[in-house]
Amino acid sequence: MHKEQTLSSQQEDERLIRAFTAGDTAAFDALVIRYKDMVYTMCYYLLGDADEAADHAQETFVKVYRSLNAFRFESSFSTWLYTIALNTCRNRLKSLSYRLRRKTVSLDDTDETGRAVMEIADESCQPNGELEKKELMKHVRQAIAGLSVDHRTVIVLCDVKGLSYEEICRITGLDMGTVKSRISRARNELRARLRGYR
Amino acid sequence: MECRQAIDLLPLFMDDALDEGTRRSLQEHLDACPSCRSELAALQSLAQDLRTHGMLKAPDDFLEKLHARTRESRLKELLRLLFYPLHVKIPVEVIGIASVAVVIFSLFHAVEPQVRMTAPQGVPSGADSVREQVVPEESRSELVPREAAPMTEKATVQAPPTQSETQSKSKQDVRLYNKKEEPAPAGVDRAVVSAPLQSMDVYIVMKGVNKLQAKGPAGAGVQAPAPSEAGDALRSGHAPAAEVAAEAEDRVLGRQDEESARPPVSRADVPMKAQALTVSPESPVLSSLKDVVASVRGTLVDVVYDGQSREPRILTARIPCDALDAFFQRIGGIAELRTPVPSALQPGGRECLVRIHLASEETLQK
Repeated sequence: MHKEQTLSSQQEDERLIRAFTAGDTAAFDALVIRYKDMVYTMCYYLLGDADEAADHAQETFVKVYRSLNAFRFESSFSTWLYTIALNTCRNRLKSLSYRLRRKTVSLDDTDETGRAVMEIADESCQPNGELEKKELMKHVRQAIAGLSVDHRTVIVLCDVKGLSYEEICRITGLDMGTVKSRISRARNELRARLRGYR
Repeated sequence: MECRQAIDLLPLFMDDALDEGTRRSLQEHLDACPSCRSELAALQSLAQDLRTHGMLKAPDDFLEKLHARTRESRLKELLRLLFYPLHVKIPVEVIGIASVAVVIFSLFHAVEPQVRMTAPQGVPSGADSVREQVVPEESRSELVPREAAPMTEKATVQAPPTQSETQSKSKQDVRLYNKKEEPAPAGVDRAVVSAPLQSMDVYIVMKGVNKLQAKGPAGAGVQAPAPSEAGDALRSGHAPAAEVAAEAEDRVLGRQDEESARPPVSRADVPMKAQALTVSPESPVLSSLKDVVASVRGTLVDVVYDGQSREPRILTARIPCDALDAFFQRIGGIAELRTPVPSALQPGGRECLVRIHLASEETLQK
């Protein structure tokens, strides 16, 4: 079932890309709508800041827009897109301006969009289970932010996006052994950081 | 299997990414260890939460902002194409090496002409004193430093070395001099030539030079120019006929007092002045040497005349290296070589620059 969905998703991507290269700019908008949340999520977990994440997710799509005509369908569009997003975030993490600007407040008080929550939400409108889950996810995001960039990357790709080990190898450029080792250590470290909450 | 080892393997066990033997061994441990089983359950729950609640929602204005950025990007791309048509990344090292090479090449070409003219000369011992006697003071006055030379002066020769200049030459600090332009004799190629690889100085005494000079036509019969022209010609030292005419005019008009206004003539110059009265415009010495040079396929490059006698003093010729032996043999036929013939030349040159210094027995003895 999942494989069929993936196949149809890839076919849809291919159709939209061909339409875009034929001059249909609306096809690019459709691609953005399909993948903007995934790219934004990846950028958010890697950069740890909502504004930075939005900025670099848009930067990723701008790069895609410029080079989509050169896409040769040798890999899936999603793999290509995540590779561009990962490289964009890595470049940003290496930059001096990012390191100077980096604040520690961003992941502490955020909602599901990653934006800072200025006011406490009305608890009466939401069931208790939902609130608990939100509270838990806040701690999870905080714990992920404490991981190294390499561990954050594999956690996002493997657990948040649910990509296969092979896809992670293609996106990160690492071999299978390194990917497995990083996933194992990253999960154990994240579990250790959340031991008091679960 | 111990719990510690089992916990390390649990993240891969839950993705079924372990090999069969490790997986079976871990499964056996999990069946027996409730603590590890709860740890596995926590990991699976965390992964499940991340999968379902980990995804974030992009801002609502994401697409609008992206449109603005793509428009900006298209404009930037257009400008980049317009102003950077050859956007090629060149390593800084390559640019540095190329710049240094260009600077060195430019400097070499700027310096090369001076190096050509100040090529080292093999001056024999005692040559300075010989030159001092051959070149009179009046002739030296024609040689002025390059800095003071007017723009119309073209031919350049090296000044005769004095004692101090010889010392400075040893330090390779040779000054260039400009010589006032003289009419080039027929057959003399005054064109600037490229520097030969090697140069040499040869001192010769012409056989029977006095007889050759005595054969020249006298100044009588040459029409005397106007007094002012005669005076200019004498000062410039161009035409021996004009000089002779001026002297004759002085004798006729008895301008004894005007002698003092002329450049002082030393006692040593008197016999040379007398010779100048009998020298011909086309010197037989020059003719014979030109014949020798031409016979070995050489080129006469320059001739320096004695200011008083108007006889050639230094001849510069380009001689093919393979014809040097024949050249010296033929020179030996008409003159007496006073410097040893260079025995061995450095390999690689096609032509050799030979400076032939003419001297008389009298001046050499002095």
